[in-house]
Amino acid sequence: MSAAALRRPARWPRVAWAESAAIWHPASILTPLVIFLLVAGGSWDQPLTEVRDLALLMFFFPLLHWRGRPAPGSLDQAVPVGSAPYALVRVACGAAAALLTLVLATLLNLSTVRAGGYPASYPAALILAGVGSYLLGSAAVLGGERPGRVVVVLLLPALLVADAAGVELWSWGRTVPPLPGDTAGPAPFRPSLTLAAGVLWLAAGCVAVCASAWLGGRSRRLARARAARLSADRTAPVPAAALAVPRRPVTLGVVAARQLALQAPGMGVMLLMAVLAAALSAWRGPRGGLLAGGGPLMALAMVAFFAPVLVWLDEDRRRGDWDGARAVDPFRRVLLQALGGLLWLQAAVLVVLAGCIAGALRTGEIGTLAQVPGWVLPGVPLAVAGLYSLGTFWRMISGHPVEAALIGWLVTVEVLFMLDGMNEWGAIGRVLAPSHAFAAVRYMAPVQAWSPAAAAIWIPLCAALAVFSIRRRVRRDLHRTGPASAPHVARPAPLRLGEVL
Amino acid sequence: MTFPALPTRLDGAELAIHTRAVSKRYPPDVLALDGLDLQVPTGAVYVLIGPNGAGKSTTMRILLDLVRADRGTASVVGIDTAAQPALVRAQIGYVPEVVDTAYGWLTVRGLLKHHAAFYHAWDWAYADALCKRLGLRMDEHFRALSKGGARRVALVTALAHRPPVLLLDEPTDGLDPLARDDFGALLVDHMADAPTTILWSTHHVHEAERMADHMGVLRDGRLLLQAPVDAVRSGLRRYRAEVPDGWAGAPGLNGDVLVRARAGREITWTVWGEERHVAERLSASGATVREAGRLSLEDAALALLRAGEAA
Repeated sequence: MSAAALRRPARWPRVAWAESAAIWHPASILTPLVIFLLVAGGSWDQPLTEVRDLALLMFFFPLLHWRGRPAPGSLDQAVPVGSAPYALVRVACGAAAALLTLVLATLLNLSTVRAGGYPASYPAALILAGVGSYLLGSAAVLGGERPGRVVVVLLLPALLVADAAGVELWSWGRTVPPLPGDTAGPAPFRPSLTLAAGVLWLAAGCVAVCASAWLGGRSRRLARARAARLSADRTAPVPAAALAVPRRPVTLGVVAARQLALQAPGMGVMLLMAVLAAALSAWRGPRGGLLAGGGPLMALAMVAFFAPVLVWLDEDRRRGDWDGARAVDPFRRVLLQALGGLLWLQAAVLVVLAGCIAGALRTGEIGTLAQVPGWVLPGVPLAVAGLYSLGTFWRMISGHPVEAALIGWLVTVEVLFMLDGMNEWGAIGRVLAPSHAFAAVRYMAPVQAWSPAAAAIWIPLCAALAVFSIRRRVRRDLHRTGPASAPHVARPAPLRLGEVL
Repeated sequence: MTFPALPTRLDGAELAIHTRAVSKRYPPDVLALDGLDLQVPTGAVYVLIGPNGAGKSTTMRILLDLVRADRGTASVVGIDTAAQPALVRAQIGYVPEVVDTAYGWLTVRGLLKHHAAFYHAWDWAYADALCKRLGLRMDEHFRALSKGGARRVALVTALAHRPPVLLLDEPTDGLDPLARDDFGALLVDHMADAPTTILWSTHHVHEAERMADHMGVLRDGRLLLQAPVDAVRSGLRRYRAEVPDGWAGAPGLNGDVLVRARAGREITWTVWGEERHVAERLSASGATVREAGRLSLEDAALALLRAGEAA
């Protein structure tokens, strides 16, 4: 490869050696291990289960390795080597880091194995599959301009295929023989993952990386050609009325359309995941049954609460004066942005519900559409709107979105628990307690406890809280934002909870 | 040293941009603007000059209602900026000091399309012509552009809807010398097509000199001077004179001298005032005036800022 690319075979080892520093970078090994230890913490009854999870998670670690930006920086580009081979060297170094991480994790986890019964090849097969998973993730990162989303998008069909083939990663674990004194007999161990399968995963990863490195340059050329074709068929003259001073600002409909369009890449992934969940639910029926409120409906509460982080993801990174100077009222723009996120979310929710209902009809859980209970429609969309509003509230009062969302979740749960003391107020209190408003997403109360009256009170309250926090945030930014030339003060100052309330 | 009384008002002109006693303080305690009375006549090319931290960018941000003034009011084409921010912004094309966007993943074409949606008067044919002239590639992702490339995109977004008011905050920063030169020509062509009022903040005064017809010098949030360029050129002169031994000075000039420098018996003054009167007072003090010359805008701004610093 080096001879072909450079005609100086001696240089490639030096390039690889220089790049290998990435293997020892804390983000490459330490972070996955910390995550692993946090998640695992030594599991007695399912040894190697966490290594299996880590192997699956390795799909996402290329994002960490390259900090979400596969394109080399200007200094990297100055390295006198071909871009595709150089990308392969970088992937190889990342794969080496992945290998080391998996080996360390396996060694740590082996100490928890109290009983035998594993094929000797099983740990090695897991490690090979993990490295293969890393390579598949690298291929996705190399091939996409927005790697985070590409990774998620590629993972979905991959999981679907694996699921259809019956070799999904999550079925690879085993249950070890019971502790002494347990009455149940030892569970039979027939892992679907063999050494040959591990080698196959690894090979698939290698092929995918090579193909992606080659196709990357080709797709950029195609994109250029597409953009050239876009060039203007928009030569219609500007009407004289539009040039009159004062110029009119555009309508809110136009602003809303732009907000929806800008959210499409991020929220579209969420919608895609909803389609996947809906397809599986429609095919097999909702996990746990529709009327029990199980399966995908349970995840909707978390998705709804944390969706605002995704809605404001781009702007959290860098929103400058240039964006702010567009001809739109800032409060209305942010409000429309929040509404746009809610629309995307509700679209996903409706897709999931449609899948679940279709599955329930197919499996005979319900006979007709008329039997769909009220907590499903409109209960679930309403509860999702309420949780999204609460997530928006926390997002608006903080300059640190993820931390705010996590702390906000905990605080919200605590506050709602406290408010559930209303259950003690007799019949009215039992209906109006907040858990009854959110019961449709199985939040603190069984779905049957969902109450339209509670929803009619709590959901508008949550929405009002979100609107109020948006208004305060916009006003606060107007008065406190520092000079744009000083980036350390340009970020809007976080609101204090006391100031909002 | 006292600072001379220089003109800071442009009364009588129809104003496109007007701020009245605008003050702004950033936390924890940075006074960015201190009672600013900016008056930009309609159709003027107004160059705003000042050192870093003088308040130039803050002035523009207040005009766009990106930050709100603590005191005072601001208006653009007669519209109050705080009362109707969307309407005000519809009148303005803006090139910020730092060109950055939350949507760097968009291509140049995508970003222009996004920006165009907010302006009824957006002219795609003109935008395409500007892109060609500035050498922009439509398929490139914004975040992959150089600093100069990003600034070119910002120029296109500012000009392509032919706004009645242009706010340019260090527009040539990051451009190569050739592109800076082209930028001037681009603005001249643009103004020939569309009547525009320009508020142009810059450190490179010589670039704006050929187009500017008004100037303001800002220091510590206050205007040291605000006047037509012609008035500055005629009012501000540099005098070189020889003085006799034991010369006692020219007390009559003290209030109007901005900068003075002495080398042996030769003294150079930069003085605000009518040339005839200044020369008479110098001669009356015993000095022999050898030369009285005009200053370039850059030298004038430098003299004003030095004097402001000393005061």
